[in-house]
Amino acid sequence: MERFINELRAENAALNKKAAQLRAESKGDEAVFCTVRANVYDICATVCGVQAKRGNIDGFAAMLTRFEGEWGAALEAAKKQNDAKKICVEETKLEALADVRARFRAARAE
Amino acid sequence: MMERETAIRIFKCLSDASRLNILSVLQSGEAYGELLAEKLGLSASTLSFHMKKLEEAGLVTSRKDQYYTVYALDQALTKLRLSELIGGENPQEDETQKREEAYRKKVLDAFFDGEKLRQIPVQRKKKLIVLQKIAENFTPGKVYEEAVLSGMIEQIHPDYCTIRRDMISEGILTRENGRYTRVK
Repeated sequence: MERFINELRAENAALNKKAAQLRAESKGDEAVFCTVRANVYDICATVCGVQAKRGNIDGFAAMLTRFEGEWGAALEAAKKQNDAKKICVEETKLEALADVRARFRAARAE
Repeated sequence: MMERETAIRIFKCLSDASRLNILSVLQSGEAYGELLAEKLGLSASTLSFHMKKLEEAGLVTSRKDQYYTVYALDQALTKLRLSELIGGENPQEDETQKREEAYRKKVLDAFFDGEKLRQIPVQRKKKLIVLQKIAENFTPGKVYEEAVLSGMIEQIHPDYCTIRRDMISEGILTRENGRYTRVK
């Protein structure tokens, strides 16, 4: 799991760097979305680290499912309010979460 | 004239490199959302966000083509000159003008009785309003003999000497060889 967590931390660092670059290119909104994506990797790395220490790696899988439910509900609410920025933020979070889940599955299969 | 709020919304919307890139692509013709996203390296959700902003600002229009969305530039808006965008009425200036006009009317009502001036105001601001009102009797650029001018002022107030002198010192009249001209 350590390699998986390091992967998430590396992704977070790369995305934060990209966000700074986007900001410098006057792409402010995309920089915000990139930071949101980076935060998902950061949160997941932290949560996974805690669960791994407790020896409860299934707890991490359960957390991913919980995040998916909460962010999915937030996306639906944003769609109802026709809030374009919130829709994009929630979709970005869910995209990043799907990537984390795929990487987690691959790490567990190893 | 464009409303100021609309202009601000447009400028805010344009202050993003990706949205400018989108408009640049649309200049060559309408495009499918998917194609735009691919061309500009944007995710579908990010493109959708930018398009919504552009639509809200009135810069872009969209139509459905089966399952796809096709975007196009709003030619009328995008062909506006910058001066047309920023040249809208300033509501603050309007308000100031209204206040000044109301004050002017109040001063004139207080000091004039019909065509006659009751008294010469002491306060300079009020005096200037009164002098400008009297000056409306003279045609700008036309030369008046002293006697004619004095007679015209006397019809308004007996102290024509003070009024004539004040009009010169305020730059409303000029005097040359005993002849007077209204300059403003």
